[in-house]
Amino acid sequence: MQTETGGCRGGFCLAIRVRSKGVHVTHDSFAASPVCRGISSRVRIFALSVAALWSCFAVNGVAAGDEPQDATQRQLHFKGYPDAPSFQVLPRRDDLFFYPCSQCHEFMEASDTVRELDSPHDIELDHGGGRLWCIQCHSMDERDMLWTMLKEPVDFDEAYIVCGGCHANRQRDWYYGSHGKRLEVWQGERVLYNCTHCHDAHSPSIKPRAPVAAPPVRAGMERPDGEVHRPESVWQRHEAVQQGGTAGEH
Amino acid sequence: MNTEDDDTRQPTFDDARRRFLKGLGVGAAGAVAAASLPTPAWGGQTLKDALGGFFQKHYQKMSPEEVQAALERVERRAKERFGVDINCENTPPMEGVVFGYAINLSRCKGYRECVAGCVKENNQGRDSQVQYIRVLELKKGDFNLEHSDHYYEHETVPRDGHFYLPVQCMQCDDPPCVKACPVEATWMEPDGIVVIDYDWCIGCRYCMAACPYWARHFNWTNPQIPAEELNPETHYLGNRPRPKGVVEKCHFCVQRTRKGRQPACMEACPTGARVFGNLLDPKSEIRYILEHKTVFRLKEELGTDPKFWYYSD
Amino acid sequence: MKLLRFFADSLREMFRGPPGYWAWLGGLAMIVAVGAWNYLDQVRDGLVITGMSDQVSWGFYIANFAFLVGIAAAAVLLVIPAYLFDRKDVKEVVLVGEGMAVAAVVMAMTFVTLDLGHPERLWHALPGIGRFNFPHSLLAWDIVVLSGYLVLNIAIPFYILFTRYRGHEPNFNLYFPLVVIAMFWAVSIHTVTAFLFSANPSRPFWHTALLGPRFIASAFASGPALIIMVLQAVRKFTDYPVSQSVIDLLALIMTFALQISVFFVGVELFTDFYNEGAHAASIHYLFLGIGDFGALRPWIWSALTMNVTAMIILMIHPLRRNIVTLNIACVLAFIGIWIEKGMGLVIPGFIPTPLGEIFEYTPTGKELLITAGVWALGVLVFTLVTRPVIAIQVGRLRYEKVPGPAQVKDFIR
Repeated sequence: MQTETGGCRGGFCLAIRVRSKGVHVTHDSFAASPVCRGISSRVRIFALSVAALWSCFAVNGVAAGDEPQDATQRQLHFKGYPDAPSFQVLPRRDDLFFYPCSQCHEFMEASDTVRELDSPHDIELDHGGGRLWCIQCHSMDERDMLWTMLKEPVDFDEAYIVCGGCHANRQRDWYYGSHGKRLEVWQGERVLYNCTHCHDAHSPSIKPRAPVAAPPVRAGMERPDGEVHRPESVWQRHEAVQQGGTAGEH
Repeated sequence: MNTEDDDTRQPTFDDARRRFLKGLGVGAAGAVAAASLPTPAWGGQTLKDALGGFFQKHYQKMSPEEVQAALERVERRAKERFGVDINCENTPPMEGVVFGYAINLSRCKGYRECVAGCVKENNQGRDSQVQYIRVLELKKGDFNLEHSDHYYEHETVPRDGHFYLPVQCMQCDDPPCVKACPVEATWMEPDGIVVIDYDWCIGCRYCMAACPYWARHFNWTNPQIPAEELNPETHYLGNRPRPKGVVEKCHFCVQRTRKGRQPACMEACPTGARVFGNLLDPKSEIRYILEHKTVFRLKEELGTDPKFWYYSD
Repeated sequence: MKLLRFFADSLREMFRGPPGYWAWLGGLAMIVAVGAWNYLDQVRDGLVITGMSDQVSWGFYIANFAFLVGIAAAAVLLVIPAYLFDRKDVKEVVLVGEGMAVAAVVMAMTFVTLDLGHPERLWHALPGIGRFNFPHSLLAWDIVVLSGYLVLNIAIPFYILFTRYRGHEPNFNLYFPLVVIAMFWAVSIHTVTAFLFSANPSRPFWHTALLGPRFIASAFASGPALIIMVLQAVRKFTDYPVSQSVIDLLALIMTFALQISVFFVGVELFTDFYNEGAHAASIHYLFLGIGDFGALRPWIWSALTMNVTAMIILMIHPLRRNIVTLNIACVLAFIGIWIEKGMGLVIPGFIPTPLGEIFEYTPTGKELLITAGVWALGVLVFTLVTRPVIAIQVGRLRYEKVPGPAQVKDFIR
């Protein structure tokens, strides 16, 4: 997300490595309309026009047309949290380079076999520690949609419905605002970041990154030149006693 | 007497008086002109501004016209010091709002983006090196602040086996700093923010001794801000450029929050660890957290009643 | 008219004396000038010229301030025997003590003023046109009590001296109530200064009920130490009679006070080190250091050694009576308490910070020079003020010339 006062510097954004004609490009920013260099111009033009078309509909942050904002108001069994304050979700679909998936997957048969994939999506699946396969989240019926565990179709812009299927407590926190991030304002209409804005759905854990520099000290002074005083912990002391037989020092 | 024979006649009292009055008029005009000229003697301000600033009343005692004059003085001073046109406002507190803040310690990774965002937003002196937020690195299992590392510099954060605790002004509801100030330069506004009138502070630093959270900072020297980084949207009680010799601290980005925007630290945090809102709104996120999560406040036993909580998932 | 003559004569007395006196004044004035010159740097550049930081936000200036308020309060140790216990010998020198109190208060107020970021904004503390945070702010209390003490210690001696100057006897019933007020006020100035520190639960090192008693005890040990040395100087360099009994009395008071002061230090050490918690971090840092940091250790141990040595000297009667050992004890106690109360009290309150950071403090050269300038200013004020005091008390200075040689006993009641 690019914000005025700071930006996330990669590491946990959706990263799709695109390999085409031997050229490697990695997306690691949420530009509204990513332009990928080195890809065949035909695919690029096609993708751009699709993205342009879809962004017309995605302006209000809604999946399509005038449908209700919160997906739970549609025909899902999961009714959401009605007493959570209302919200809109920042759209994600325009950031997905290969969307719509059906442009390729219409011609491929959906398979639920766990196998080695050789595909333009060089995705490393590190989600669930081996419990998940693609079709847990990606619909086999409608290739441009995700689906819930009850096989109800869910748009990419409402990915939070899918995530909540397993991460129910986290989803509830997200609905009520104790998890996730809200855009711009603290009051009034809520616009929330989707789960996948921060968590790469295929490798959701937040990756370590470099911190901003340490605080300075007052002008004209040097940072104190000594170690932080950290005595050993309680169990370390007992371990030392039990191993060495001598009382540990504070 | 032939008045045309000016060379030969003796000067009369009338002549002298006329000369004196003329000189007085010229002198007065010169003084008025000089008063509007910026001179080094008044630190680069005009004499009028220097005197106006010196005799300026306490913020809470000024009439709306006096406040307006003070705002304009601040703007002129910024133009003179940095060459930047700023907008200094006096947005009043919102009705029915008391601000509260919560940080999710499970989400904070120690990036210090909040610190960077705050410095940029709030026009803090790069030379006086004031930072409102300090992020502490602590080892898991040990909450003793004396074992914290303030100056961690790792290749990546979070570091294994450690957690991070950002600390800034807690906007206490029973603030010891407000009690300590001998001239009432700091007080709690109706929306709960503890603010400082930087033109009233005498710089005695008693409030800094009284604060249990090390939240208040002093401008030991003139704050140096690169002109291109100066944030021109300012509030008199917030991020307007400050003089040297006064105390300052986090003010919940009063220039933003009173207009409904998030504080800069909350907007900067990439992980969404920071939640800010109206404690008086029962449906706000902050209220949800306080009512449903296990929250705590720092140094709760001191009775300062901070409006800044910590929680975890 | 007589008032004008009084001031004129007093001024003339201040600036009259042997070459040695002028050398003394000149030397002090030079030190004051050096201090003032460095202060201009502080006005121009800000307090960045000092060694203070956000971590240790009070330093040498406030340390000296706390110590000097104690010295000012110790004048009461002459006032009480003089007026309450009717000790004639003490009454002879009580005005010298009050002169010292005035000088000490002036020094203390100067230190606070030049510690400010904006001293020109001091008018903000005036009730009415400013916003005076009384009674909530302890600093506001301090302004009130120090100003009041200054007024009392100028008003009472002024009345007595001016009356004597005009050849009359001061009216005891007029000034005695003020003296009683001054007795309580003296204790209050130092208690309020102690409360300034002890009111802050944010600083566990200061947040103890014992701080008030510690301040009074150490003031009553260091004050007499200074008074004893000053009185000996007065006796040597002027024609003013100072009875040995006064010095004996002060030495005795000092002995008790020093014993109590050292006892209080012991009490603090036990309380904090027996079950050592995080609140003991400051005293641990002060006496033992923490990790790699221990800059104050040599200072506090020297101070403690000096105080204990002085205490032992004073406890041994022959040594207390011997003028040489007494003076050694006075110097040791004065410096020892100056360290213990100044650097040994103000600075450790900030180390570690409330967020646990250890950041040390060393005063810069400019800070030391400014401090020296203020001390010189105080000594200068005292020297100048004492001249007319002595002249009037001894009988040399009168509105009308006194016929015949003056006798001291004629004029001192």
